Amino acid sequence: MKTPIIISVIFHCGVLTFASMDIPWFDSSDVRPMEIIPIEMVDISEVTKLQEIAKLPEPDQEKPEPPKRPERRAEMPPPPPRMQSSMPLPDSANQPAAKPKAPVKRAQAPTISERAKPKPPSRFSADRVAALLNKIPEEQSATDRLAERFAKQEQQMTSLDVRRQTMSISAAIQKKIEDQCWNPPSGALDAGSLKVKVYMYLTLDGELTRAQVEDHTRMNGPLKVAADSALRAVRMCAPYSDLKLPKNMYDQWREVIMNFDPSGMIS
Amino acid sequence: MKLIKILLLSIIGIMSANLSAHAVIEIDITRGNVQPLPIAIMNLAGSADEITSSGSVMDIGAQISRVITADLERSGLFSAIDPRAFINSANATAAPQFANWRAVGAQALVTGTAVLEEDGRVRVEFRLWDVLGTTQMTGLRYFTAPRNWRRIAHLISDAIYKRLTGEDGYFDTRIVYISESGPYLERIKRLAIMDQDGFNHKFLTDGSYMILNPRFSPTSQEITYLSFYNDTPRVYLFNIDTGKSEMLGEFDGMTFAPRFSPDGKKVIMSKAERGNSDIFVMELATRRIEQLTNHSAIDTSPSFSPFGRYVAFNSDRGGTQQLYVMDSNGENVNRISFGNGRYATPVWSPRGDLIAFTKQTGGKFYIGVMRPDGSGERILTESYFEEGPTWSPNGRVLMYYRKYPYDNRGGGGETQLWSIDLTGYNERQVITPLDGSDPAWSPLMD
Repeated sequence: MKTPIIISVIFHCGVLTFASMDIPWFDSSDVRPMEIIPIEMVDISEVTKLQEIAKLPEPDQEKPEPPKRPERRAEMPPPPPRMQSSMPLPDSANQPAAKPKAPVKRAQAPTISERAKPKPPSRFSADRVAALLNKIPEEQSATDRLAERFAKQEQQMTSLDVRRQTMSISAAIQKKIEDQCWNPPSGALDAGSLKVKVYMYLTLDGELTRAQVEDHTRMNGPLKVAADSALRAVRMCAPYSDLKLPKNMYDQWREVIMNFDPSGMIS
Repeated sequence: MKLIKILLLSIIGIMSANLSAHAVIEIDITRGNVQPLPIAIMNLAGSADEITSSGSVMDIGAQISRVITADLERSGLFSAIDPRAFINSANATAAPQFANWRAVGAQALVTGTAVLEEDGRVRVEFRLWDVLGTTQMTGLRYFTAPRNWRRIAHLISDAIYKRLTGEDGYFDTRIVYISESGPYLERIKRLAIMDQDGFNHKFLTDGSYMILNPRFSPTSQEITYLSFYNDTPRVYLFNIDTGKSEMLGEFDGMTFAPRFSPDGKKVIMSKAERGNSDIFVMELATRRIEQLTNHSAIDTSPSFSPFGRYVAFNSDRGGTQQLYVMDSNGENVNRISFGNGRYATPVWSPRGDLIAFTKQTGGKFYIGVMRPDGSGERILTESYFEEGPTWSPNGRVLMYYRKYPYDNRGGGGETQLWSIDLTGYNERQVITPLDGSDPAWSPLMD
C-alpha cells in the first residue's frame, strides 16, 4: 500500500517541478499566433531613462516612504586595507582611524532617528522606553515591506514588460561600465582572450556592497590583471544610483553578473 | 511513514527554493577605453639628516620616485598624476586615505621609504596600492649601496609594471648602440652602452675603427658585433664586464649581421663570398660552423625564434627582397612577406608572437610587425629612413634608429634612436649624447 503512495507523490511532485521550470513543450501558448511587436528606433539615452519607463502608480499615502539615501561613499571613512603582501605593514597601518559602517545600517539609521523623534521625557518611563524599542523592528520591516510591495508590482507586470525593463537595466549598466569605467588591460600577450566574470551586488539605492571575480584566488599573471581591471571598473562606476534602476525590479538587479570580454577590442 | 514525510519535505523544499530564487541579470561587457592607468607616485619618505655619498636619503627617495614616474610614463600604459594635485602627503608607514586618492583620480598608488642602514647601505621599501579595491597589491624591500639608487628605481618600476600589466617589465635593462659623430665622409662610429632611459652612458670603443650591428646576448653581458678592425670586416664577441673582445672565426669572405641564439650558445650570421651571401651558425663553445642556406640569392639578417626552432631571414631569391622562415637546420624554407616593396631585417619577438621588420617602398622606410606566418602585417612607423628594430625583453616595445636627410647647405643627416610600442601611438626619441644608430636591447639584468 505504501509503495503506490510514494510513487504517486514522486510523480506528482515531478510534474509540478517541470511545470514550474516552464518547459516549452508543456506550454500551450506555443501554438498561439505570435504577437506583433512594433520596433521603434530610439536613441540609447532614451532607452536608458529607466525612471520614465519604469513609472509606477504612486504609493499609497499610508504606506511608508522609502528610506533616505545613504551618505555618499566618498564621505565615508575608508575601510581598513587587507594586507596581502609578503611585507606586512607596521602596526600603525593596521589601525585605521575609524571603522566603516555597514551600508545597510547606514541606509536605515537616519530613517529610524527621523521617524522616532521622541520628545525628551520629563522623567524616566519604562513604558516609553519599551515603546521606543518596539519601534525598531517595525521600522526595519518597513524596508522589507517596501521590497515586498515592489515584488508584488513586478508580479503584476506582463512578461513583456519585465523583459523590456530587464533589457533597459542591462543596457544602462552596460553603457555606464563600457563608456566610463572599463580600461581593459592591453599589455599582456593574448590580452584579447582574457575573459573575466564579475558578480556585483547592489543595495536598493544602487550602492555597491560587494564585487567579486569568479575563481579570483586561483588567478595569477595576466588573468589576475584582467580580473583586477574588471573589478576596478565595477568599483569605479559605483554607486549606480544615477541610473535610477527601477526599485520594483530590485529582485532582478540586486545581483548582476558581468562578463568582461576584450576579444573584440584587443587582437 | 517517516520516510514518506522526509521525501515529501525534501521535494517541497527543492521546489520552493526553485520558485523563490530571484532572477539575475547577466551582462556582456565588450567595449572599454584603453587608456593609461592613472597612478599616483609619492616621493619615498626619507630623512634629510641621513647623508650618504649620493646625497641625503630624502633626496635619494625623491629621485627614485622621479625615475619610477618617468619609467612608467614612458611605457605609455600609465599616466602619473601631478604631485601638486595630491590632497595629502601620506605618512608612508600608514595605510593610505584611499578616499583622498580616489578623489584625485588615482587608481593605483605607490608609497615607500628610504632609510640609511648602519652598514652604510640604503634600505628602500615600496608598496603598490589598489585605490578602488583599498588593498595592497605588492610590497618589496631592497638593500643597496646608495650609488645604485637609480637601478633600484628601475627594479621598482619593473615590479609595478608586472603587477599591473601581468607582463615582465623592461626598465632594468641596457641599450648598446653605435654612437656617431663627425662629417658624412669621415663618420666616427663607436660602440656605446647606456641604461634604457639614456642614463649611465659609456663608450666601449674609441672610434679608431668602425663598428656595426651590435647585438646583446640574451643570457650574459656579452655583445656580438661587426668590426672593421684592420680594415677587415669580421664578427667579434665583446665581454662588457671584462672589456675584452675576440674574433669569431676566420673566414675567406666577409661576415656580418650576427645575432645570438636564444640560449646564448650560438651566433648566427651572414657570410658574403664572391658576391653571394648565405647564412651560417657558429657554436660558441666549439666554434663549429654549420651552413644553413646555400642559394645563389643573397640571404642575410638571420634571427632565431625565441626557442631556437626557426630562423627568420631576408632573401631576394623570389626576385625581390622578402622575408622567409626556415627550420633552424636550414630546411623547410617558406616565404612569409608578400606585400609591395622590399622587406628586410626580420627580428623575432622574445614573446614569439610577432616578427618585426623594415620595409622600403615608395621612397620611404617603415618599421612594422607581422605574425610568424606572415599574416597580420601592421606598420608602426614611417620616415625618410629608419632601420634596425630591436625588441624590449618583454616584446612590447621596439627601438630603432632614424636618419634625417642632408639638406643643400650641408646640414641634416642626423641619426637618432627612437622607440615605439606595439600600439603604434607611443613613439618617443631616446636621447643620446651624440648621434645614435643600430640599437640593441639587453635582457633584464640579474
